[in-house]
Amino acid sequence: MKHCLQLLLIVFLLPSSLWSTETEPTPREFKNSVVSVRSYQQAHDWLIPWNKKALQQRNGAALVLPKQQLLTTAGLVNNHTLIEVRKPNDEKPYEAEVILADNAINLALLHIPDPAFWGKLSPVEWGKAEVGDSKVQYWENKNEWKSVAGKVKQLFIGYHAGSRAHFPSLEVAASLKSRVQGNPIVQNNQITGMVMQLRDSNLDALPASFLQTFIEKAASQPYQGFPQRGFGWQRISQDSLRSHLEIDKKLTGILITRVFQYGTGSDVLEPYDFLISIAGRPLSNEGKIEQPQWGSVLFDYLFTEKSATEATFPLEVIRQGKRIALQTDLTDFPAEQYSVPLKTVEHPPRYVLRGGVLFQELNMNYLELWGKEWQSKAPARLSIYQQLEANLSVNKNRRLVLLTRVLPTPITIGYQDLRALIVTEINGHSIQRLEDVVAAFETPREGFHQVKFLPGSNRAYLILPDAEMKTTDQQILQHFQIPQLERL
Amino acid sequence: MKNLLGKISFLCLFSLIFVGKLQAQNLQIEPSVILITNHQQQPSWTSPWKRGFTSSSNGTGFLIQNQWILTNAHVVSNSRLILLKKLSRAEPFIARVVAIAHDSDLAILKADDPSFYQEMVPLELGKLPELQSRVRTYGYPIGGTTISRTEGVVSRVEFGTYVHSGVDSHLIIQTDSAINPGNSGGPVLQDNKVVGVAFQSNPNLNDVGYLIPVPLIRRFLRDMTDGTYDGVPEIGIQVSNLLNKYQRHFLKLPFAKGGVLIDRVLPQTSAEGKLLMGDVLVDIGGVPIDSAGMVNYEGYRVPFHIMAEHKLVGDSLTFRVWRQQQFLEVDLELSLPPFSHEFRLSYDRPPQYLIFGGLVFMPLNRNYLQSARPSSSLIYEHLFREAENPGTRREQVILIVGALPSPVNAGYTNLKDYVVDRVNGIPIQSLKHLKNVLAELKDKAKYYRFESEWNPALVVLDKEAIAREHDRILQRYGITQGEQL
Repeated sequence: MKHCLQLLLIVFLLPSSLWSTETEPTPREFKNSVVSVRSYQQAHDWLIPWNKKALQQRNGAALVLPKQQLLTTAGLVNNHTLIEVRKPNDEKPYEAEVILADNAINLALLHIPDPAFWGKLSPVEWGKAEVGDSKVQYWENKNEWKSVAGKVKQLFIGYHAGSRAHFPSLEVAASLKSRVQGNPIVQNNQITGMVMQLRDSNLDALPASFLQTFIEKAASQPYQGFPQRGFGWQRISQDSLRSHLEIDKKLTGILITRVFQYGTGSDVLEPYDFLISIAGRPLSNEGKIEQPQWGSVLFDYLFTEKSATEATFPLEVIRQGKRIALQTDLTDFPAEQYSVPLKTVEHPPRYVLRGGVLFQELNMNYLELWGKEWQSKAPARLSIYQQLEANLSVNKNRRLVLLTRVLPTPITIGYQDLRALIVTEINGHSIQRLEDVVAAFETPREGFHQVKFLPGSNRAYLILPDAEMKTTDQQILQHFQIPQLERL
Repeated sequence: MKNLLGKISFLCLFSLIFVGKLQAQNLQIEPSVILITNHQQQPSWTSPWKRGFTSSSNGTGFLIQNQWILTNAHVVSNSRLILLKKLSRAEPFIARVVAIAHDSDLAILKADDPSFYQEMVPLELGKLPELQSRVRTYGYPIGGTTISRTEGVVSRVEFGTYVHSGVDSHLIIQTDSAINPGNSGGPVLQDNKVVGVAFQSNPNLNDVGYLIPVPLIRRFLRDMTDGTYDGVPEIGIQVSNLLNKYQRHFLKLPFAKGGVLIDRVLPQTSAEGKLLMGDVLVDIGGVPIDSAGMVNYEGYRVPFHIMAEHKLVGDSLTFRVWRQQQFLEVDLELSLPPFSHEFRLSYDRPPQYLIFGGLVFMPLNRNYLQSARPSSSLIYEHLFREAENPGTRREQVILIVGALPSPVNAGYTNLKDYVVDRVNGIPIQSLKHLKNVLAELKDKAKYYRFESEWNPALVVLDKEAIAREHDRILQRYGITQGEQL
């Protein structure tokens, strides 16, 4: 009897998995929803703007979507000369076309015109990302399908340095070292995200919900990018500042410090407004909202959750002691709207060449010619203006036009060493864009062109003779093998 | 054979005579060359209230007229004790600085004890040496304790930056004789006369040394004779070359060669109100200026500024200019450049600062820019603001350089390089002005509100909390002095 009791106890203490009739579902493989991408890329040369740089090759993956589309990162297909896509167990490379690339969020949609490609492929089925165990599935060496265990650690609001856009990202711990872009994150037998890049020892991935919103937006024409905030803000962690601004101690929110010319809220907010809620969601003193699934996340999450087509978005502020309800449009802040435009891969460099003097507009592509440490290595005045224009006085119509280099010609003797000077006037016309340069050179004064530079430059102005300049321009095309005198 | 022997004998004799002459020269000169040990205390430009321990460094000096010992300013800067050591004596002698010129890296010392000068003969100043001529450098460079002599050839005479101040450019002599730490301040001689003071090298070049030439030394000695060193005056203009023939046609210049164009006249300088933007400078002090801005100075082609740098403050200088299609003579009374304390590296003066509410305020200057990785806003304020917006430069640009964390400044502890433009709406002109404004607001306002054009973050401090916390902050961080103005 004693023995019998012991046996019973042992039976009851055994792990339930041994006697349960329910078993874990067999892990699904998404072999037919993931394809390999090889991109041949040739970037533009911003130093010699009529040239392109050396050819590079990048590898990654793409996810199969319905309607014969593929989803991958924009970084993988930018500046492409050819995109080759390979299916599992098929050696044939299929040429892909880019349907849409949004560099602000680093996503792209591809299409393969060859109908043969689409056989035996299954579109992804999206699941809901969550904190916890995950897998990254990927193709290695063309036909070897692999799965690496990982863990989704958190959702955070990522910051894309290239676009200044804020959007939700998953931080995934997984030991995957190369060809990470475009591979799926798998949780609960569903695809819940796509890997964007390796960051330190973790992976950055975009959650499925965000990817689905992108795909939905891409279906409507014209494509409108994700909304972005149109203001800067600071926390109020000091009682002195709160009391000075007469904000009740019990109220939580953030202080608006500057309002941009573009972006969500830029049409209605004012500096020193105390923003207490967005879309009816109260803001914490850290600028966070409570999100049912992810907990506290930065308010920018709300801009990505809603569709840009929705007309208005409510904001609530304390302005000069009064609570005010505002309505704003959800709008984005395109890279080209900055006075010193953000890095672009879509357009070749704009330039104008006159008499051997090369004019270009200041942008991040040009500044990055000085490398990642351009802020300390680029000419001081250019990085100062990048900061000035980016942070303080965004002006939608103005660009900084530079004399970037001077080709040695008989009419530029004495000017050959000039570099990176900010042009303010040509022939008495104010210069705000490259188009102004072209127009100003149409109106010489008494046979000369006068190009003036920002005071404090190492030369106040230079002179080019009109008649000789026209002859020189033709000689330059031949002598320096330059294809055209301008690209606008 | 006889002839050959005769030739060899002659060569040997010549060599013996030459070596003997050289030794005799050295015996005359070397007692006048002195080892200088400077015990210095460097200020901290990031924690300006700190006073570090002393460090010592060696340099060289040499005796000239009036029992003066000439050396480099950088050899004796930030000094707490200067010791001199003669070749013939083991005991050091205490010296004091009689005059120091940080703009031309020169200093005059004097020994307190008259016995120091026994057995020493003052060295005589010579003139600018010729290119390719040989010179001999004496000094106490690192790597030994006895006097060292090296010979070299003058390879260049031109304008160059004097790194001690970081901004000044003067005439400079380049030799192929290496100048190492410890050589600084040593005499460089030719025919037993001083032709320069060894002062700097170029880390990118091998076996190259630079000398301060005699004309600048003589200028320094003239300047200090009244007991005060004023400094090297400046003209105060920015010019561009006129090498492009089309630019010359545009300007309708009636002469085919020469002249430079004035691009900018700097405010508060000798040139303000006298020279104009657009003037073409044709000659200076009667010497023609070429199209690249060079003049002939004692056979050397150097920038025309040379004509001002050997003058004293208050001296006059005449320009011939082409203005509005005619030649004019323009006389300038030379003065010192403005804001030199901000633009030059500063020595022998403790950093200015003010601690208020645990925030550390300092004026922007070159020392601060070199000690930290400066943000773009600081470079703009320091170098470009006045050029772009004439008349907007303040006496000093005041920064919050950091915070000493305390409940009174919670939330602002990460502030760095915050340019303070206004306090409670009042534009701030200098550190002293800031202190006065804060004192005036003490009875008027409940809060101090700091604003910056560069940084949208609003900084607001509570007056009562500051009064309560100020002494505690200083005590907590071991600061004995809350300000140095």
